[in-house]
Amino acid sequence: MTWTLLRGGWLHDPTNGIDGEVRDLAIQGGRIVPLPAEPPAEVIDASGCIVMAGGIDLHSHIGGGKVNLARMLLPEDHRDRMTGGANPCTPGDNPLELISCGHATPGTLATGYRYVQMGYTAAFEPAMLAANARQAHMEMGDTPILDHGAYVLLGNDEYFLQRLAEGAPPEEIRDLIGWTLHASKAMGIKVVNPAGISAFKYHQRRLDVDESHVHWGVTPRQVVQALARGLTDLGVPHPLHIHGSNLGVAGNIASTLATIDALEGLPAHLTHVQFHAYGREGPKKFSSAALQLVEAVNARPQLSIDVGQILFGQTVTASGDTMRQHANAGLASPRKWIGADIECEAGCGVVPFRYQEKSYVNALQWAIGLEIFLSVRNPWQVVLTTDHPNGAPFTSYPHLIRLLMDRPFREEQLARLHPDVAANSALKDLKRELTLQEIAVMTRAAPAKLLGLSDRGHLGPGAAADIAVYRDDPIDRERMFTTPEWVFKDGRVVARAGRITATPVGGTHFVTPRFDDARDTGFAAALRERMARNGSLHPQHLEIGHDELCACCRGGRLLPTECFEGAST
Amino acid sequence: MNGHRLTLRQRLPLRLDLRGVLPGALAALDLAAIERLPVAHGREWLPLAECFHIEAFEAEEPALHLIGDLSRVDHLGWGLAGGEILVDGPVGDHLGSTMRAGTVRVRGSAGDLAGVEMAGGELHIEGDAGHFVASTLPGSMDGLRGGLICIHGRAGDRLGDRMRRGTLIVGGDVGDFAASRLVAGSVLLGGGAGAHPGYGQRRGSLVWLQPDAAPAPPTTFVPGQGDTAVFWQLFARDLAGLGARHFAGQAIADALAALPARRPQRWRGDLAVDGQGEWLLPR
Repeated sequence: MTWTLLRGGWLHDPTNGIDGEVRDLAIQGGRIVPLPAEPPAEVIDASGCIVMAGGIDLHSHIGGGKVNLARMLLPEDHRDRMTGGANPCTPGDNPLELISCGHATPGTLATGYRYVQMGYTAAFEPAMLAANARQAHMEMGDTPILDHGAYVLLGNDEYFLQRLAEGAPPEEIRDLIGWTLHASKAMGIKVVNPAGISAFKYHQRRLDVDESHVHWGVTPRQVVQALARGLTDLGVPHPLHIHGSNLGVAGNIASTLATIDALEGLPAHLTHVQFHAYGREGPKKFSSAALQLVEAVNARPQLSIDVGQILFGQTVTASGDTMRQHANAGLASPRKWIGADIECEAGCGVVPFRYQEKSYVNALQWAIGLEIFLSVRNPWQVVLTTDHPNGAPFTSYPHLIRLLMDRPFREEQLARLHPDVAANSALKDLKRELTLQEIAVMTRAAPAKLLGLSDRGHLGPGAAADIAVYRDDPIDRERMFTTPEWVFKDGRVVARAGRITATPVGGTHFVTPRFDDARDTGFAAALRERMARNGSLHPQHLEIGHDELCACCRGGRLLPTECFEGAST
Repeated sequence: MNGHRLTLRQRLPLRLDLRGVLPGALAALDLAAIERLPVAHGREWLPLAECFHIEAFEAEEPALHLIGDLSRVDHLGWGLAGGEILVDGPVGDHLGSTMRAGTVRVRGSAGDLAGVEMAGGELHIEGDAGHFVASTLPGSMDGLRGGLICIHGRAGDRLGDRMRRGTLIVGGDVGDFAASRLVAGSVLLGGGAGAHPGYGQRRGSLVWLQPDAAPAPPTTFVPGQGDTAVFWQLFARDLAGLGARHFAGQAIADALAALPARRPQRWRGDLAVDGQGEWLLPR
């Protein structure tokens, strides 16, 4: 069998403890293999290049209802910027790239192309509704090249809250979680504003961690506990993905710390924590609480976070958190928004937003995100995200990487902001510059580990040959990470110097939990009955089978992830 | 050779998109290059010369003169930033949309969506215009943002929807929802209107040049009591000048010329939204 030699690059493979050593890589049959004895069929000279596994974005809104709503809300985002935003998008010069465009809400095709162009080979949609899972899988299936997966929402659907209120035993909650993962073919569970989206529908406009849902009487603390416990019992590799209470509210560090406390030592992933690390001090009653948050994370190795960094410019915020999006709707720019309930399972809020350097709040949000990145001690606990598109479009990752790796560059940006920002933030004192190895952890190795993907995010023998080869540029890391020399997907060159060279269909990641589905008497029957009475989805269509998933995803490979052994079922 | 005359060879079987065929762009090219310019016809690209006979003429500023039945030609003058376009015959949709400067004059009627998101310059339609004149591209918040649109004939529904600056004058009757969601700017109507004029009007002025042809103000409008004498004199004299310049010899020119001598009855609304708009009925 022929093989390809990737010769002489500096490898950064944190999973295997390789930090910038010159090593050769052998690619055969889509995998990385030990160097074979026979001569290679092809040699690629990677000398002078940094070689990393393909990037993995563990939190990026790339599929599902709200992304399409955001696209429809902002047709101007899809007009050609070269002509002042007047013309529709125009074809590029690469016949492999079908016409697709958009900046904050790129089309599915553009999403795949732009991610791959900067060396990413997988992305995970963090807010898939069970009732909407087919749509989400189809949209991600339509996203070329990238592997993908999704976290399904629980914690605001009426059935879960009702059973929690009725005191369902933990085993039932565990099996409900398992069944939901299985039925929607998800990679994990995400909870958004625990019980808060539901409370919004009962006229509550905020819900603190120990405040009761006015109708079901449950608290966010109970919801978080029940879900984290259930996922641990099932052995799902990705721990509970938490979008906490009070997103974006000044002083919300209290609820973030209370949420961490509610976990009682169970593992969890706190997402876009930048939006959850605000104090209430200073002249504007809005301050950074990044260091308090980081202290909690540093003390708990079982926790991981992604940052949700904001970067200045036009974007759109798309979230399941109807309660908070409703509160922010007045800040929409352009002045239009969408709020919706979906099947009484969760919500949806789409608010276009322009982060402005001259806004004290926005500038401080920018600084808070960077503070978090630079002060978490263990890079394996932090994942690099902008919560695309909520903090900024994913295409700004190279810029973010430069901010983290290049202190003079960072201080230059900070100096452009209002002096109050520097005065009220620890950023100016943070001298740390992240290393290439730390970036490799935050953008590939850690996300792969947090998702339980044993053959991704590293370059050891047996790993999928998803590889990004960057021309080293210590002066301008932004340029370096914008345009890798080569990007391999399953051993195939899919981008060469920023140009897409092949567009294979990406694979679908999902977990395969074992659970007791109590098919005829338990929750599955109850859910079917409920769906038949109130839902728009045929009860027999609640579960997505393997064949259907394959069809949804345009025939892409199915990539099941086993749960941990020793789970309690 | 700043000017180019394009004569339609035969009736077009499909819609033709003339986006990009602008007087300034053509003035920078030689005739052979102009003849080869690709234009979208249905789903295909054709060289411009396949649709038009093209000849150059002397002109002081870049000029484009089109002759023929262009009712299937869309996006003429799209994004125009200077120069002059003259059309002898009817044109299709999106005439002068997103233009920023320059002049477009049509000696005929225009289709729908004329002057959408136009930001400056002048657009003259000597015949009738279709729906959505001076409104928005899909999803945008603002329609007409500046410039002057003169329609000598009638116009369709949703005239000036979300318009927020500039002047829009229609000689004849207009369709339903005239000046709906008007944000600002001046709309002058020489005839009557269909259902729901001023629906959701936030600010801006809607002037009924023939108050007797105007419908009764909606119930969400109230009589305005403020003193507007000085404003009215400034406004009316400006409008009289516009009438003399752009509508010479037509009834609407006389109506505009008579404005300074009249006193307007004034209504404020739409109170269902901001309520800072006005209807002026000069009697």
